[in-house]
Amino acid sequence: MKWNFRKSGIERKTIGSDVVDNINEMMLKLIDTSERDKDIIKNYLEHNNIDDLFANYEGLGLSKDTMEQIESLIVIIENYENM
Amino acid sequence: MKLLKKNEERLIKAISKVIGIKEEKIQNYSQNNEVLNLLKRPKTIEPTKLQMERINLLNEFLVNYSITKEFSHKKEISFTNSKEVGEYFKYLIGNKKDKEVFMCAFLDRNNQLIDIKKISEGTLSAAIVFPREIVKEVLDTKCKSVVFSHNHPSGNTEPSDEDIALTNNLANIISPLGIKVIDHVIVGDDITSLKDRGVIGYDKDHQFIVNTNEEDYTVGKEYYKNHVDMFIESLLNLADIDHKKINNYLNSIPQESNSLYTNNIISIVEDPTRAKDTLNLNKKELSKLKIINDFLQNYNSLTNISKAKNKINGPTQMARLFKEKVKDEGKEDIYLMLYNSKLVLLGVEKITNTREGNIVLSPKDILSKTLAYDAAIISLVHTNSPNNYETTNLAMEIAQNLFNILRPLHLNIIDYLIVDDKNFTSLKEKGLMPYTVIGMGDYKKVNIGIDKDYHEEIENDEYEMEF
Repeated sequence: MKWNFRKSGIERKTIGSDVVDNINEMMLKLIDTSERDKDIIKNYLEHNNIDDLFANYEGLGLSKDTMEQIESLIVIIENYENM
Repeated sequence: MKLLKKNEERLIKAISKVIGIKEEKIQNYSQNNEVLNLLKRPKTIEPTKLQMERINLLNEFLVNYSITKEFSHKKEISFTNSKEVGEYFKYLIGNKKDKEVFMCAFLDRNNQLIDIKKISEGTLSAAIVFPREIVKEVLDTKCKSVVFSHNHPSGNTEPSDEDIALTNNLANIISPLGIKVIDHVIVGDDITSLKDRGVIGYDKDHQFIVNTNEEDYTVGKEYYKNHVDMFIESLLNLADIDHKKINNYLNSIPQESNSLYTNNIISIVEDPTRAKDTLNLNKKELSKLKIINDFLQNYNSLTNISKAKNKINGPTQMARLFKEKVKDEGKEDIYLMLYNSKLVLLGVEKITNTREGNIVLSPKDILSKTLAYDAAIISLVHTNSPNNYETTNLAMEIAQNLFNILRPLHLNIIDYLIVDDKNFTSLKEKGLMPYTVIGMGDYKKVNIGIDKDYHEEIENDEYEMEF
């Protein structure tokens, strides 16, 4: 998500805020894991975007199963983008 | 068995992990299909309800993720034509095959995107759109224009009559806020812009054409004249009044103000006793006039409720709605009339209470009723108050107060009527409504410190009027 602040003070979102919120929410729904891991992901996404999560998930202290699920999502996305 | 490629194996494992379908089932499917087609046509592998939910979720996630990738590198997005808008929305919702989604792009004065919001999500063939939600977002984003878009899950982007009516309806609602509706784009297999189709009205500057409140409210002299003529003709036929008496009377009344002129003419039937003197009526004429008066009073009482749904075309009509109330009750009160942006009356509420001998009026109450009715315009009717300088001055103060409260919400107070059993005064007609005189200097002297005190007024909830 990119933000751009202008002199007018209007906060601009190139992607609708609903879309960004949706992605984070859907991500959390798709990952079937413990509350602890969900909290870690949720907190991480509050300050970072989903691509950051995909790049850094191994260093967040998530369980092995959670990491496998994220990795699976990455594989699906890669294939989806190449469709 | 077909030897799976390494990438396919990874993908099958990944889908199995995320959706919860057994790998063998996906492998079987992949023998004759692309693996990812499974997400597009999941029913072929007969998923369980839970698996189906996860497939839908994954599909939605993938679409939304693609959008962020596509647009997140851009600092600003501006729309210069319907094609750009259409492609943007097609990306967002064009692939949704299970339900209609209605979205709105909020743009600044340069058509640069401020935000995009999902307004509603519906069924396969319809999405319910609440204008109030759009207005709320419009106010939140401080946008100058909007573009609507929704998808047709069938893929056919031909606009329906409802699509066109909805666009017009929304434009009529938000135009009074100074917000333009630039386009409504329908996406599916294709893109259809209602603007390009010319099915929604734009003028040469590409602005939506809607009737302004002012045009609706102001009734031209010709309109009055035609109706006065027809009224007099029917009156002469019904009451058998001598033509000369009517003509003499018409020549004697002032014609500068449409409403005053009309009001004097209407008063012939509304007040036969007065008419007896002014027109020098004989017994027979007076008797017939009284019968007409009775008939009209009964007729008005009966039709006031249904008439309330009609457009209010001017202060005379507005005042007439209160004639019976003024005559019957005789109690001093203020009524709030609530209209939509096309001046269709939505409701009438009494807004004054009596407390310890004083009449109490709450601006907060007025605001809350205005929002509750989804009204865009209000007017006040002050009944049974002496139609004098003091009342007019008080009316101006109240109108100014309300104007300052409503203006930030882009709501409008269009008139303040003081109605007694004989006549009425319209602040609008007298040019005393705040928005018509603001900045002229003199009027501000009678304000009651509106700008700085307005928050206090709201905090205090109500103020008392001294009579």
